Amino acid sequence: MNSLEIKDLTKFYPGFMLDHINLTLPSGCIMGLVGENGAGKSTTIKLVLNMLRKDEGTVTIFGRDSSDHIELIKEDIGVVMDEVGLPECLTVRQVGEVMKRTFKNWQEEEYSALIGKMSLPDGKQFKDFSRGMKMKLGIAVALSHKAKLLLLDEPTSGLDPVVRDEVVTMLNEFTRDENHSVLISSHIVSDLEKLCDYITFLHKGKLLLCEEKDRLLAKYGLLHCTMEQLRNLPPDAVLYKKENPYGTEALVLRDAVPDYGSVSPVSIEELFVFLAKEAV
Amino acid sequence: MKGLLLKDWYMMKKYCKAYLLIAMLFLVVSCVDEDNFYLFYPCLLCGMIPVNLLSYDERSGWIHYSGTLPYTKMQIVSAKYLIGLFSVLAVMAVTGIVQAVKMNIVNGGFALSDYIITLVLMWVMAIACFSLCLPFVFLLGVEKGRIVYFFMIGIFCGGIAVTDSLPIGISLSKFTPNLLLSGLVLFGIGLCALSWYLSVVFYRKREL
Repeated sequence: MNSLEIKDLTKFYPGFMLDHINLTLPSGCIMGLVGENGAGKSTTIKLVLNMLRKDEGTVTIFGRDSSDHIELIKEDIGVVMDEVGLPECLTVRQVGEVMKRTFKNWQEEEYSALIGKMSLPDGKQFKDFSRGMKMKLGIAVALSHKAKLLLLDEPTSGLDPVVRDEVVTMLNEFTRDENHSVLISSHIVSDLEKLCDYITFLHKGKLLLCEEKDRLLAKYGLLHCTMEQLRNLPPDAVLYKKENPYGTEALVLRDAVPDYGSVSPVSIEELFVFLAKEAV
Repeated sequence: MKGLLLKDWYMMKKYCKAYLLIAMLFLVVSCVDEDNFYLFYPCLLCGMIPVNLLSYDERSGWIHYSGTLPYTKMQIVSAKYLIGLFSVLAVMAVTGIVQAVKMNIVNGGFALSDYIITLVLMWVMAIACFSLCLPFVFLLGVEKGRIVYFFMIGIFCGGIAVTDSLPIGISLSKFTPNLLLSGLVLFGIGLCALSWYLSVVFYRKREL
């Protein structure tokens, strides 16, 4: 069963359009939504949650249309937004009390355990938390009501590497259950590379690709060669090339390239940069 | 909706302490002053609590975050109206005691009809205070909704001037008080219900 299916999702804004997005997130998987600032990542997540009105398309969560009683579906979704959004004057304990009366499946013990594990101070107000602590509290709330799907909008941006690593570890633990899925948006691609089973590239509101990470890494490679060597390749093999005084670097389809021996693995970040430039 | 009410209660405890002090000060002053302004002001002040809570919600990002929680927009709107109504009732209970004392000591005698009319007027003004503001705040956000708030303050001051021009001992026979009271109560309930309905409609249309 798929946790999330998005078909032809479209949203018009003056000067921006989220253009017929299609993606499917199977249960038990983590999908990374990669894109530059303003690519449409947050818009996509808000449309999934019905926080914005879609102009076209459908969103299906756990097999149910999101337009139909989304508030019931949200019981099974944990969300962490970029700015978290908890009231500034609330303490960790008060947040727990509010959420206990918000989610039917609230697990007080799980929340307390996560708070302890994250070393969050119990009596301090949310406004006095560092950005990392705020994000951890948001994640603790999202993980404490038996959510089956996590929607995370830039949860690692602005965090130091240690906290980012902790967040990645927590998400990995969450997806040990095969019924749990995560859709995580970020422009810090290295985090997603560690974490994700699927990668989706968004660029200027358009979907560049949506594929399994391992297949992507197997499909594409970086070729370092001379211009002359590059000219001898089948034209379909080269997706993007970059020249510099020391030679040429090209993003290529591995299968279409004769064995030059110099096709090196491409990172998700390099792949995104190449594809985004090609799409310009 | 219990979670929303509890969250607002925590916020009121934190942010509305100053309101309590100001309200107490005005109530004390109203005991030694014949002017009704000081008596009405605490009710007006607590009538603005829902708008102020929304202002804090907007600043903290709760407006967006609440959109991710399993609440309908109707529940989110209703919580603010309930908070407004509870606050008004709580302040009116205290104001009612002060008004009774004032009528006995300052005005030289307790008249039930005057007392009830004054309380009902206070209730209607406090209800009107948030009922007129909230639909605009839910539609436009707090910043733009504040413009309406200042407009309401102007109306309130005008209302006080009109009320003050009436003698405190309003004659029951002159104003057919049963009709007047029924009219005021119905007006208050109708205004609040219409305001709630518009807020729900506007908030459903608003994108978070």
